[in-house]
Amino acid sequence: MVSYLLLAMILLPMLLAAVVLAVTDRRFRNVCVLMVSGILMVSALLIIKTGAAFVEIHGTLAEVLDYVIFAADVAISLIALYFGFKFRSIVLAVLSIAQLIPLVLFHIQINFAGVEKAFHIDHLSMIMLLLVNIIGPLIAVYALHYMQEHEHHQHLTASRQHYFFATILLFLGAMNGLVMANNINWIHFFWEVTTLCSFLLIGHDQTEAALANAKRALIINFFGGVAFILGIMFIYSRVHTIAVHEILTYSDVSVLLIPMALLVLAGFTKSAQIPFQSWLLGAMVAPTPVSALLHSSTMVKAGIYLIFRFAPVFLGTWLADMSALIGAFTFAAAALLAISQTNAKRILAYSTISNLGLMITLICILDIYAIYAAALLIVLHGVSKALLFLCVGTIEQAIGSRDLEDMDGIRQRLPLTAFLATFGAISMLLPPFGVLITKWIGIEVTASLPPVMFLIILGSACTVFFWAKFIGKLLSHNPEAEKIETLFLTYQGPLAIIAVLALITSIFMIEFSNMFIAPFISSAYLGSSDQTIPNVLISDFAGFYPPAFFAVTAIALLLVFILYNWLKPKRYVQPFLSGENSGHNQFYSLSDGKFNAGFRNYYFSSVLNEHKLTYLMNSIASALLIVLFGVILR
Amino acid sequence: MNIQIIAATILLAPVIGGLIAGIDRIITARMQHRVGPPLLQPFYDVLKLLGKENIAVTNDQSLYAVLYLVFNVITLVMFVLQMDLLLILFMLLLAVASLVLGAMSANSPFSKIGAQRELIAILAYEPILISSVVGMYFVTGSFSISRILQIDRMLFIDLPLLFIAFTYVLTIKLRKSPFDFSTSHHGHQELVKGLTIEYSGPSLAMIEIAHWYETVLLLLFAGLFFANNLYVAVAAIAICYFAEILVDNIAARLTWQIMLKSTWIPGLLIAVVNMVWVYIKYHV
Repeated sequence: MVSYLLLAMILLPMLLAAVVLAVTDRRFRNVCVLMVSGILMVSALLIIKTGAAFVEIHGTLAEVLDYVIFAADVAISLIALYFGFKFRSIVLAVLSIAQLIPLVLFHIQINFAGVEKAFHIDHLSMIMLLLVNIIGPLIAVYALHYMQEHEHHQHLTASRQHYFFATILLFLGAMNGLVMANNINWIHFFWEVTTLCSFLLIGHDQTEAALANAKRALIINFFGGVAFILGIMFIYSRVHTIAVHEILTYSDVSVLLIPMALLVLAGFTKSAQIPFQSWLLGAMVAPTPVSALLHSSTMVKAGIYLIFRFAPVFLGTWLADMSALIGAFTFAAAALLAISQTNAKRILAYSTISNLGLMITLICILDIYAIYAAALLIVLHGVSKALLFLCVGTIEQAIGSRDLEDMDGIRQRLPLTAFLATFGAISMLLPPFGVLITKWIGIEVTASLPPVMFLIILGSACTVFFWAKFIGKLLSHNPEAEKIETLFLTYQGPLAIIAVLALITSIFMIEFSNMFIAPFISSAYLGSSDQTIPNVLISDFAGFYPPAFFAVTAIALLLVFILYNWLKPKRYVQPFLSGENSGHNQFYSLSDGKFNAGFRNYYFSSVLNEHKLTYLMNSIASALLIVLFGVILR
Repeated sequence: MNIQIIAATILLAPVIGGLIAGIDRIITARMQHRVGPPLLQPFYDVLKLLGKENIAVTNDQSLYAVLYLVFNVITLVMFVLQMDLLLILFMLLLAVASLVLGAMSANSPFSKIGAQRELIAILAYEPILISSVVGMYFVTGSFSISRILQIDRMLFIDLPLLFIAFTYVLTIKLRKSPFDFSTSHHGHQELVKGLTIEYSGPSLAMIEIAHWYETVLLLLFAGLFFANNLYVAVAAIAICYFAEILVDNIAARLTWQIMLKSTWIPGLLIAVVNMVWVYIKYHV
């Protein structure tokens, strides 16, 4: 049963990717995408219902798979080498060779051996599967309509949508493989597939900017890939195994510290931690569903997954403390940079980078609540960010701009989308929603590492600033705005579903934790197969029980509506503009001429110069990374 | 028992807050060689506002005023029920966020500037408020007020610098001069009442009442530093608030740049110094 589900989740999307690529008919493609989406959702739920398990592959099939995956991994390096020549990028060419040679040598060294227990589905995999196979397909469905509009605006002679959807399907299959594989070589292969997919998707529009940013993403992620393969070789030379579950049971941490540092470095590149953040910011040029996919359920979460997977090995060491510090630094620095942005997508991008930093910090703290918060944040952030990106994409197509300053009165122009976007932003910032709770836990658990805690405190303050501006803009009123929203089931439908999911995950945080994270903690951290250890299960977060708080908030909102109905203004006037008004936003100035009053949010562009600050932040983060490696390499 | 406490808080807090506002106005008047209004003037004002017609520029503006009130009440109740201090700070944030969003929803440049300035104020005071709570955690080992109150030691003795930083940002939080730039009064012209310019009648009354709750909460927070002795705590709160009134009357409004710099550099610095020493004292 489980092996069929594995086929459905990994191989089927990849096969259908090939079909979609070959058959360019639009209707056929739509049916394929809808079908795969349904299958992925159902299989993910079924596989979770089956419970934690190893899947063994024996005999000829195992051997063939090992050769095929090795060949495909080599092919990816060769593709990168090809693009290195095509773009005349020496760095890319060098990196792809640096990846190719160790890859081949290592496979010769281990004589193309495989792992019998090829897949391991534990509760961390399940959390990732939920995210990848529910949010991912919803984004794909949304993209069906979005890409149609997108190409309409582009005035292409021939549609390129089959490339787009083929890559998306391949991407989802690879993510499923990544989070379930137990052979570290296979993880590396799926890792490289996601790199390749994100490269193709970022460059999809074929504009100069798209190609430049795609190249950058490929270079940075290939750098991570090189660190990954070197890490694998180190691990093998120390403990002589490529099976992840065996590496995790290895008790002597000091032996594995260098390879773990390399894997963490690979995770940093994929998760766009400063100084590797530029590729994720550049990825904004891609069509919005790509951003939604990269930021929420795939790609960046692959880096987090890798670090989370191996965290039990190195928790409590210098490596963990330094990683926590770098994560916290990214959290604060990205939140600060977000304040200076006017481009809504870039604000969201910086917010993602910032939250990924917080996830890494939480993963690297030795505290049971930190683990809970880290896993929760992966899900909560994934859901909310998918919603926000898709909403911004919808707004962008409707008004032709992604600049926050152009979104005055958006709630009158696109009521449903603006409402959902506001909901998404509130779920990222305010209580009783989960993301804030994880920040709160972040401060409480880092009391043992004061510099980390201090950075989280500073970052939280900056977070409030940019989110409040964002929400305020979405809710602002413009008397001249008119409704332009048109509704499609496959367009706003996924948005509404994701919003409901965001609400549900926040309300049932505790139940989710006990169902998925508690078993993960007992198996991965405590080495116990008993999944109901009472001291791991939680009933609340230090007095915070979400349903109670949601109930209080709901009662408060009810009270507010009653009071509001009593207060409801009977008469509307025009705002005070220091003189006699002559229409909306217009008044007679001193010279008796009509004068338009306008207002922009504060962005502090003179103080928070993005270019200079990025340089500074990159330098500091690089220094921290060097210190991390300097201490470990002894 | 809890129900009684909650009811008492909801009913008594605005009375106390209103009286504090009345005393504030009398003392301020005396400092300016005026007689000043009667003690109950804030209540008369609010009653008068409640009886007026509600005029607005947008339809959901009053909604945010009500949200501001309700979340301030919830935050104060959480404080009185002795819950987690960090959680209380985050709920307080929700209240301020309502006020900011209300100001941003109105289509007025003045209220929008007020909103941005209030956000800058949050940026300035939030790290210090959280630092104070963390300082208390380092001393007492808990973020929950019920546990902090059990400690048989005056927190002020361990956290004097944090208390200074706290009183400094209290001026910002209470929107008093020199940091009142998000709500400067009409007489000062340049911002024309900022945040609340487009509020009138009952909506404005809601904001006033919410501010009373907020004042009580913040003063109780200041009292936490002296919690083991009730008399000292009340005296400290009185001195603290008198100092706020004094500063309010002798200082001219500063710019937001000065506020941000002075809270982040000297303010946060002394907070960190204090946190470092209590950390070393109790945890190393």
